[in-house]
Amino acid sequence: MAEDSKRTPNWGQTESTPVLKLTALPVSIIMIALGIMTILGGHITPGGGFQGGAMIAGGIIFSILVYGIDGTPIKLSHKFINALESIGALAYVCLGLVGLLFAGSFLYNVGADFYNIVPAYVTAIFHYPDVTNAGIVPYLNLAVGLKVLVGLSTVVIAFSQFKKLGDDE
Amino acid sequence: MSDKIESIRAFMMAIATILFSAALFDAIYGFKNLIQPGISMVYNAVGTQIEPNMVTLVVFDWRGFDTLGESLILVTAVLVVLLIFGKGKILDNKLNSANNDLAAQSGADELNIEEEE
Amino acid sequence: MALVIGPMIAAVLFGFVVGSRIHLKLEHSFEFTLGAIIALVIFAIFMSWNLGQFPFYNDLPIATTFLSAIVGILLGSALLGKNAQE
Repeated sequence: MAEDSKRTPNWGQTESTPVLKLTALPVSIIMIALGIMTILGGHITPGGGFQGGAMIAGGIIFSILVYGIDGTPIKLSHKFINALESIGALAYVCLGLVGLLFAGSFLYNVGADFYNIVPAYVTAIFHYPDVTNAGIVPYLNLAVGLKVLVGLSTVVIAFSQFKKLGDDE
Repeated sequence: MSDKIESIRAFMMAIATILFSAALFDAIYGFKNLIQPGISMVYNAVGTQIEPNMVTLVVFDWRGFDTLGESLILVTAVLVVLLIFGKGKILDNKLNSANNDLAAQSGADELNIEEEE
Repeated sequence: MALVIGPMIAAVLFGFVVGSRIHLKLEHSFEFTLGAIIALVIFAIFMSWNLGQFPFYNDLPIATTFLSAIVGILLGSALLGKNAQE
């Protein structure tokens, strides 16, 4: 145990103190919820997809740092990362293609319909259920939030596994 | 032989530079007539009727294509980090035995690399 | 004021997606019991009341999307969290 503690940060084994282990998971959950709140308030308040996704990634990274990559309760598998990244990019591009199809310009805001050139049923589909007239902007926020949350978590997950590789060799 | 290739490459580079500079100067010539500041004034005036936050309006509504490129920059950065630091070792078979068949494939690749070295 | 229901549904869905990767019980490490979940929900209600009407919808004096995200995370973790081991 004394030999292992000399190696600064020992990612592979869960050597955190009980205080950290008790408080890390609820704090992570609350950070994730704050990030979701920031993403969904992106068109009204300061914040948006990038910032909220970074907050969610902060929660996941905090849990990984405390529990280690093997014992972390928030495990993002390879398939999950792949799926979220693809869904985020595809949702953004498909929302842009809807504008290209109905209004003639890529990423036209078909929910708000600024120039009144989109049929009414398309506007009714893509209008965000809200008191504002934001249109597709909250959906774009959600897509960017998914992409950022997965992308920033992937770097830390990969780095913790690289450290384990270095210890084995 | 190599001098000939070098001279051909320099000749092609010169032609490409000439074409690019010609296109650039042609685009810049009469550039003042192309600029229409009207869309900026429209967004500044009635933009808050779409949504209250002006920054998100600019970033996601007015310049949505730019934001798409920014998010793809993030993906590219993560990809390059994994490529440079990982070198295919992250899905190694003995370290991550419960993984899917992709792990076995990359583990085989790594074995080949080690044999070559 | 009518309750704005759309962002709450979006928050529950997003929290479900992220929370489906959280398992609250892991052997040899920790266990997140029912009492801890209840304490977390009480703390979240207190925190959302202190946050106020964060997306300014003027319907309730609490941050509704924050509470919905907590509910979505716990729901996803309870339903799909055990299958999250790779």
